[in-house]
Amino acid sequence: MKSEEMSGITLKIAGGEIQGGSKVVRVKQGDKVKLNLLADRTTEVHLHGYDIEKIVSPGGVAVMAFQARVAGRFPVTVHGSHSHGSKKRKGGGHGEKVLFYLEVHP
Amino acid sequence: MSFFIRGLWLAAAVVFLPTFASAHGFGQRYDLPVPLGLFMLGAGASVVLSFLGMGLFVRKKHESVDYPSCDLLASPLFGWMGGAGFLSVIRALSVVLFCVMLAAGFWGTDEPAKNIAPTLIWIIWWVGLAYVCALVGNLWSLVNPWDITFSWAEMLYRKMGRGGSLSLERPFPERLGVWPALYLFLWFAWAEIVWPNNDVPRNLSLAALGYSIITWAGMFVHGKEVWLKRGEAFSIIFDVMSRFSVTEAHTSEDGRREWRLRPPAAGLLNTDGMSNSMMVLVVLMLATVSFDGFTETPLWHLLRAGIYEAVVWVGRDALLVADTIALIAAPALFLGVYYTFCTLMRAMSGSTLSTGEFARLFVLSLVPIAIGYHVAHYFSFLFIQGQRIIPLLSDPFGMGWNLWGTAAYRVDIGIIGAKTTWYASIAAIVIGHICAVYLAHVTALRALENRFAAVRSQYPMLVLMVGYTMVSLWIIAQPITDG
Repeated sequence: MKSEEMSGITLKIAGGEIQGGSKVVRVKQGDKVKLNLLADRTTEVHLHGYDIEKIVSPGGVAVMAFQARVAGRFPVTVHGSHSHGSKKRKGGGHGEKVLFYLEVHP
Repeated sequence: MSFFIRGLWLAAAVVFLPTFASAHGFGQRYDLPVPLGLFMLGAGASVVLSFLGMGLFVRKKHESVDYPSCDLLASPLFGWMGGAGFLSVIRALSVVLFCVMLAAGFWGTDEPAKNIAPTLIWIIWWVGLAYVCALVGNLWSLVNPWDITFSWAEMLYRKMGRGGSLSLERPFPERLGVWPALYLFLWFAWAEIVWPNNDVPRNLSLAALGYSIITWAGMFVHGKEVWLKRGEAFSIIFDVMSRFSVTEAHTSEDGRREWRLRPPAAGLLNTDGMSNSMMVLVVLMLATVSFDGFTETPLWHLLRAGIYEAVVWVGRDALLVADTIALIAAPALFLGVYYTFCTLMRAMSGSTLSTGEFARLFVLSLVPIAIGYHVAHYFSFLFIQGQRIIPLLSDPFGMGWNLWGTAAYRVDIGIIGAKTTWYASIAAIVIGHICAVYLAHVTALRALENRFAAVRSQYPMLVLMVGYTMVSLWIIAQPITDG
């Protein structure tokens, strides 16, 4: 998936998973990023690192708009979910389910 | 004794497993995978420099492991650091911090990111102190809270006018080597890599308390110094890491404290007193460091699914069992590969030394590769997640305090750029590799019969080291994923 400056990137969440093959969204550092999130049920989505949280309601669109100031690979997780035994990070993680990764490339 | 320890850990395991708390992205790494070009550059540099190094190093035979050094405490710039008052304050602060950590785990918030215990243990102590020990010097031997508290107890005991020692001073069986430390370190590695609830503050404090009781009991039965060398896993591990660093602490013959500056990695040349158990402990450390990184790669998740399928009959804990199997298989694989290469080294060199002697002689020369990898893997993590300690010191229990006015500090994820991290990582791995090649050469020249045998022995070693370094480079070129 490529970043398209104005219209943004649309991502559909169904059954706690992201729809459509790729689990990685790639953007360039410095880009203005706009993620349009749709979901089949009320879902609390968290972009780690940038620390942006949005609640997506069915039928509505939640927008995460920000400037990709910092490069890195940032997981976007569903809050309150707990995928069975997903690998935790050093000292934590608890297997919050990763929807997709946002890769900001320098 | 071992029954007692086993019982304690079993009890601990039962207490910990059912708990669950929600994390808020605690302890995550945000590293981009190292790009292919840099990966190739690192790989190429390792190979080329290995052969260059071989041509340069094989000339001179080093008879001894002596190296030049000078006492930093004799200089006015560092002299104050050797003062008894200064050192006592540092040691007391370490014990205070240890007690705050324990208390925070038991009575603080159960949110991992808002309690000081997980950050202090996993990020500052385990990752951060390893950096300090590997690069600067063995800080752990100065601030080890079990060492300090036990010596305080001994001092009190003497002040109370009791004769003799607080310890029973039962002789420690020679054949046990460092097996107690090895066993405890395996538990620690399990807690670090496998344990699903290892960021729950209460669990961490319970585990730390359990380990403390074992350590104090060991010191009481066998004597403090004996237990620090045989059973206190972290004293041994941090000592091994600090042999890579540029300083070493000494007490001179007239009882003066010395802090000597020396060439980097020189401490790893000394293999005196290397036992089989110590050799296995070092290999275990190397394996767990690599395995920790491996568990974030996509390949691991494929492998893991395979192991999971094989043990799915276990039921609810099948994943835990699968991870535990992998954690034990990784060091076994490392040991098997290492021993195979030691056999090859012996065969190639035609030396009269046994394969076991080869294994004990050369194991420390692999340590710089593990340190290079550890530095590479955690470089941005330490700088980014390490910042969490700033607000936590003001509010260690997560109760809304602001002791030093830093509670509102927010982590700056841009403190280190992605490119800086890439270059630093590649540099750390390549430098570690060169140091390893150098150490192995010097050791071969010193320990083997003649130059011919020494040079021949190093062909298999070079293959092993290049392979090991490639594993490190490959891991940091993988996208971090959790399945």
